[in-house]
Amino acid sequence: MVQQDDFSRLICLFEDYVLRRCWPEQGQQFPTPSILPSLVFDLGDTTARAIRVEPRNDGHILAELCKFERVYLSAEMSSQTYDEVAYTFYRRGKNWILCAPSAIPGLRQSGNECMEMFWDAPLDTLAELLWALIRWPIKDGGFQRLFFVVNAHTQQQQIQAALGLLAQQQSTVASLSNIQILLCPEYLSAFALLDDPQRPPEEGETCLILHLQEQTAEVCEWRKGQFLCRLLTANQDVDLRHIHRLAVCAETLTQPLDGVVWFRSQTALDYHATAHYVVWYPVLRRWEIERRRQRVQILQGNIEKLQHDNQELEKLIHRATQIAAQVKTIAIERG
Amino acid sequence: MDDDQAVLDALDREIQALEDKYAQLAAQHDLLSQKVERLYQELLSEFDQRWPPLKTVE
Repeated sequence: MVQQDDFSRLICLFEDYVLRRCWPEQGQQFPTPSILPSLVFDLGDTTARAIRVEPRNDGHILAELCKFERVYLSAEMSSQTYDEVAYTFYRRGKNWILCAPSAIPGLRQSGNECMEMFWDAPLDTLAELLWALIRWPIKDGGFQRLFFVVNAHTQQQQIQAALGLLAQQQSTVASLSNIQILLCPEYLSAFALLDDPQRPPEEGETCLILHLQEQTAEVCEWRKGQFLCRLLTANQDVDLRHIHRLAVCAETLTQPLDGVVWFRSQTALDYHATAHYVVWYPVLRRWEIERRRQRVQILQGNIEKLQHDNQELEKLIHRATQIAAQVKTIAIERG
Repeated sequence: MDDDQAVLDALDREIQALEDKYAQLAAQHDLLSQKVERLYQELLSEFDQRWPPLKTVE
């Protein structure tokens, strides 16, 4: 592989979504996580260079990466001993979001291996890895907060410990205090299908979900760690200026909606939805699957309860029949 | 048909089966409730017939 310039070097990273050891140097034996980028930045200490990569059909994290100002899928390691592609930085406004690779559904087996290496690393190595990942955003003057999204409490503890170690080693204690570790709740995991799966919602962020088949719409606002949803009734308008994300749940976009915002074309949607939106059927399909699974669970619970109630009723009938027989017997005996 | 659609279809079938089962159990529940009520009334009637309520002596 010829690495003529930064551009070709970066492009080569994403052939077949496989990191082919272009980074670090080719020939070194490192994990090769599969990644699904659409926008990539080559990070140095002070500069970043952007490359836009066309999305492909199987891109699980390609939905709307361009809505973020920057997406980082790699960061150079000081020790050059680890691949860092397993981590993703998002920058949205003044906030940074750093996501654990386990949250990236597009990662293939090699990516999982890389993730395990990360979590299995001893504390000092973990701190070193973490520093390599976060140093660039921390050096950026616009940095205010950095979210570290993890999927397990143990990971949360590991990151906390590594940050503690970093605070001792680095002269960036103040910046490190701006890092927030988010434990991704189950509900968020499901709901995040509406948008890029890695990005947690921000406080006050509002999603508009259009369920085309049901012909309903919901406005959901993220408050204190959960979505507060309200169903829109007919003829209610939605001010899109207050909507941060939009999801359309439907197989087709052929039926008009009564009383809710309706976009007749992608262009209209692009024009009106000034914030972020997703019209992404593979994602919506999974969302529908999730909703059906929840329905199955609810039904199973209801059936279980009803079966129990019916058993109790049968016992009651049996007992009442016994008592009735006893009453008759006593009455006969006493003439 | 892709995998997601197949999963959706399978879930739809499962939901339908569960809804049918629920409807069946709900109907059974109604019948059992009616039977309990009928037995209760019969038992009360039996008691009243065999051992009429005491009359107040003035």
